[in-house]
Amino acid sequence: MRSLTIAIALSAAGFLAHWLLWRVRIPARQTAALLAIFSATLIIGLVSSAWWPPAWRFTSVWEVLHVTMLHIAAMLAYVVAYSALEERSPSMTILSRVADSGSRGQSREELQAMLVNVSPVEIRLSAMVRDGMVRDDAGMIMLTGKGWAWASTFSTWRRLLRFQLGG
Amino acid sequence: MKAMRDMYPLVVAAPVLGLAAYCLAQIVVARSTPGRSPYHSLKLGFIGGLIVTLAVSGWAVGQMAIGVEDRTGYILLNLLTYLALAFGYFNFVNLTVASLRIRLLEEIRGAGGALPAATLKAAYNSTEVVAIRLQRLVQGGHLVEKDGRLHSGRLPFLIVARIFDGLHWFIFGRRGKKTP
Repeated sequence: MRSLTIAIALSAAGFLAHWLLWRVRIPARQTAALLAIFSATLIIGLVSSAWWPPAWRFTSVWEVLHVTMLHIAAMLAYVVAYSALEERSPSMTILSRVADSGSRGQSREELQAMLVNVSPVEIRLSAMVRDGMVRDDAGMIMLTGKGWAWASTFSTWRRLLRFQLGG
Repeated sequence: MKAMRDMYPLVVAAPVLGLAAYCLAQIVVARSTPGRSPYHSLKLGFIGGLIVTLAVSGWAVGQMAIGVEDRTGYILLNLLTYLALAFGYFNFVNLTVASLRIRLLEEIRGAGGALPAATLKAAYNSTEVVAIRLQRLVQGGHLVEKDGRLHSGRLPFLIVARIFDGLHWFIFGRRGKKTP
C-alpha cells in the first residue's frame, strides 16, 4: 500500500503545484510547463525520499520504477486531457448547448448560428503556430519539422487502423 | 524475500503489458472490421488490456510473500497506471478520428508541406465543421432528432463534456476561455 500512497501523493503534489502556478500566471507554453512541473515533482520526491521516515523509504529500484510509472502515465494522460480543457471542442459546445436547452431542444440552424462567428480553423492555426507545428509565411501555412513528425505519426497510425481522414 | 525479488519486476511490467495488449487488440479489431465505429475497436482493446493487466498483476502478486494489504496496493497501483496509459492511447487514436488540428496537419502534409491559410479556412468554415459534428453526434446517438429539433441522447459524452467544463473552471477560473 506504501507504493500506491507515495505514487498518488506525488501526482497530487504535481497537480497542486500546477494549479497554484496557474492561479498566479498561466505560462505561454502550457504543455511544456506542465511536463516540467510534473517531472520536477517526481525528481524532488524521489531524491527527498532518502530523508523520509524509514517505513516510507523505497526498498528496491523496482519500487521506484513502479511509482515512477504511475506518475509518468498520469502526467501524460493529464497533458492529453489538458488540450481539451484549454480549448473546448465544437462537439462539446454543441452537446452542452442542447442539454442546457432542456425539452425545447435546438434546431440545426440555431446551433449553426451559435458558432457562425467562430472560425475553428483560425483558432487551430493560431494554436499550431504558437506550438511550433506550422509557421505562417504571409498567409502561406508551412509545416515545421515538428509538424511533419506529428502529421506523419498520426497519418501512419490512421492508415494502420484503416480509418478515414478525421476532423 | 526471494519470491518478491523474482516476481516484482513482472508486477511492475503488468500495466505496460496491458497497454501492449490494448494496442494489439485494437489494431486487429479495427483492421478486421473496416467501416465500423472507431470506438468499437477502442472499447474491445481496452477490455483486452484490462484483463491482461489484472491477470498478470494478480498472478505475480499471488507468488509474492507479502500481506493482503500490499497485494491490494500493488494491484490498485497497476490498475491506475493501466487506466492512465489506456486514457493516453484512447486520446491518441481519438485525435486521428476527431481532431480538426490533426486533420489540418495531414492536409498540409498531403499538399507537400504548405497550403494557403485562405484555402484551409474556405474548406473548413464553421458551417462545414458544425455540420460534420452534428452528423457524427446524431450517428453516435449522442443527439436525437425529433420533429426537426435536436435533443440530448446517450449521456456518456455529455457527462464528459460537463466534467471538462467543471475542470476548466477549476483550473482557469474566470480567466479561461471556452473556444469551440
